[in-house]
Amino acid sequence: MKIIRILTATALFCPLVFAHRVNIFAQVEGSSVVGQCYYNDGTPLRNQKVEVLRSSGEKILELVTDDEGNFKFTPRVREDLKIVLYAGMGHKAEITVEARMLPEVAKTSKEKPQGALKKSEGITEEHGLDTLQVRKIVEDVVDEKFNTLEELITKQQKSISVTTIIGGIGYIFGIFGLYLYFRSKKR
Amino acid sequence: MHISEGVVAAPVLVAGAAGAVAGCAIGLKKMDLENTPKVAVLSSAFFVASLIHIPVGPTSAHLMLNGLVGILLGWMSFPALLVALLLQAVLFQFGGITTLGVNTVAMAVPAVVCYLLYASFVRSRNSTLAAVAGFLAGVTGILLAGIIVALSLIFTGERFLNVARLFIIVHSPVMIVEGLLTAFIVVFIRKMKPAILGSSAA
Repeated sequence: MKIIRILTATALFCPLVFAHRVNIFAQVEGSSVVGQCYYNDGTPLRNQKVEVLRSSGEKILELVTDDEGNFKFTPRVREDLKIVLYAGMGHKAEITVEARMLPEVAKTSKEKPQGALKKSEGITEEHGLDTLQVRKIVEDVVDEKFNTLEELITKQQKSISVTTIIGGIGYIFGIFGLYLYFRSKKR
Repeated sequence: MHISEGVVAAPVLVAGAAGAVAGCAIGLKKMDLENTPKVAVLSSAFFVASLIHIPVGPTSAHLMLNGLVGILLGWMSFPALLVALLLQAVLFQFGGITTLGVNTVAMAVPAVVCYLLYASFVRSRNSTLAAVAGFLAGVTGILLAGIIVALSLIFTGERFLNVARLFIIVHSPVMIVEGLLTAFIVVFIRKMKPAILGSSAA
């Protein structure tokens, strides 16, 4: 049958992946916040509007995601920041970056970290590695590892498992089954 | 295609909920014991169809099957889609609980329209005509759903024409796939089990 052939052809070109929810992920890297926006099958959301809000709800930044669905900004305040993704057609997702995750230096508006680093470099010449520097290196490495892990966990939590799908179908039959049960008892 | 939580204005949510309740009331009245299993099967088909996703350029779109649900269930599409959308909201976070009404209206109104427009052709003796009606039902279901979503977003500042245009561009491949799929299912049902079409005199 012709229709079947056309259908199989179309089916081959449409990989069966799970969709249609938008996700946003953000993490702190150094003095900036970097994030990704993607559909729940992993397709990046390009050129979408992302808003950064203070805890009071005041909008402080408006960004647009790049070709890989990424965005990046340097926070000027150190408080809980809400990052909202507006993907159009009624799609929206948000994530909160907690104040404690943000770097200390972000509290002041000017680029202070460089100055601080230079100062510690000065000390290094006399004492070898000073504790501040070691601390910073360790923190950077740990951050990097944890961020990857966090991203992985978030992605996994947000993906849809086959169990959930089968469970959902079960619920539907259960609900209609109950409906039938009560309807038939009335008769 | 599901409106997320916190996107549309409160009056739209209330209107959507009222519409969904009214539609379900009509649907449940029509839903007798014999029809209930059919409603359940199509409800779960719709539930799963939203997971079949077709990448279109920068965005992605998914199958909806509301045209098919419509021509087979008529007004009973309301309870069928409400239950499926509720579970999608709870299990997959597609849409949301507060937007359940709006989403149900956006999917079920086109379904009922498809029923009114095409159901008699799908049941006609001419199988080519039935297949064409099935194709059109698949296309119309998505098209109307998009128009309703765009309308409900007007109050949030997104311009209707922009949203509608974007929606049609993104969904045109899905419409074709869905049209073909619906036509195929209609032809298949007519051959294998025409009783499914017959008993839904809603």
